[in-house]
Amino acid sequence: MVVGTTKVKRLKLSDPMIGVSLHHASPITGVKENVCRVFAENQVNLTFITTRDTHEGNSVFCCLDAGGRSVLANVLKKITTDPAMEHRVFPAVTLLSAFPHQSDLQMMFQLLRALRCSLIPVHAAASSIGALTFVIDTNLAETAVDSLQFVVGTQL
Amino acid sequence: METAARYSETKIKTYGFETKTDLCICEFNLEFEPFKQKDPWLSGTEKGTIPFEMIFLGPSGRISVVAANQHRHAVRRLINAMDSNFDDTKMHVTAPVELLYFYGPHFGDRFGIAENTLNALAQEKIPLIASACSGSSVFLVLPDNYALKAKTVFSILYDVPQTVQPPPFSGLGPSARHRRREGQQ
Repeated sequence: MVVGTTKVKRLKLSDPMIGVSLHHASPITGVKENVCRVFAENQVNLTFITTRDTHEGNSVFCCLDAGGRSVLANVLKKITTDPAMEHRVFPAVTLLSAFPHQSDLQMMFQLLRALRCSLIPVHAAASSIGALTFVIDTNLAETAVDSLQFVVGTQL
Repeated sequence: METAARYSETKIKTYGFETKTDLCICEFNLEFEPFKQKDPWLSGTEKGTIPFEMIFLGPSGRISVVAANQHRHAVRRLINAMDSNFDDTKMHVTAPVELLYFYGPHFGDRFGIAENTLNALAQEKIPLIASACSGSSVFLVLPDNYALKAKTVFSILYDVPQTVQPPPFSGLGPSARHRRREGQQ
């Protein structure tokens, strides 16, 4: 089915992952670099990561495989030594990807609208070269797929 | 049977780097209206999409759209059309910015790619406004005039595919060479 002028051909769900949201409330440098370094030192792959630096602070959102759970506490301990660093862990998130996005802004809005109208929290999202990926709670993944299928009419 | 494999390379392979200049980041919160029986956005009645270069959002729900600077007003119009309560003054635009993106084999399954990338930028004092690594791709939003500098840094750090030139005076065009390789001649 076509949304605007773009056809979504495929939806894909990842295995359950752990989401970590980090925010440093001041515009200091090195926050995201430190986060990535500590995860890499522990050989934890960040399957999904977004960063945003502003004058108000620095934010990082990342997802790691469930296998990284054993080192997560240790990693967070190293990252959050600075009291200005706030963090929140989402214990079971899933990446829901829609292919292809064809750089269509309207389609992105309709997919996000479908998720929000179904009361599915979107913890983060990002485009890649071909896909739009939404980070959602694993226990709402089926509902999320149903809501996107309502918009795009495609199958998993 | 499960097999574990370890993959390492002296230089991280990529499929090359792309840069885009004269872009803007439009950042805003959007309240979506529920779908209607014959929703104009789904039926195609509402036309006029805008090409984006990159989109990301974080837990705050704030949407960031990176698009050509010339499209910034069109982005605003699209949002206004979708959300009747949208407050124009709450859309924050940063411009001009540039984009550098690349992708490589199994980037989504390996640790250290993001660390390498961010460290290289930090060492060269190249500011990074925003980034998104999803799937096998890495997207970096940089201030004006920094994309080319970053590309030069990454061209040394990462393995970039080289174009193989055909032998001189072979007398064969690309299709003929391809047929010969395939044993069709």
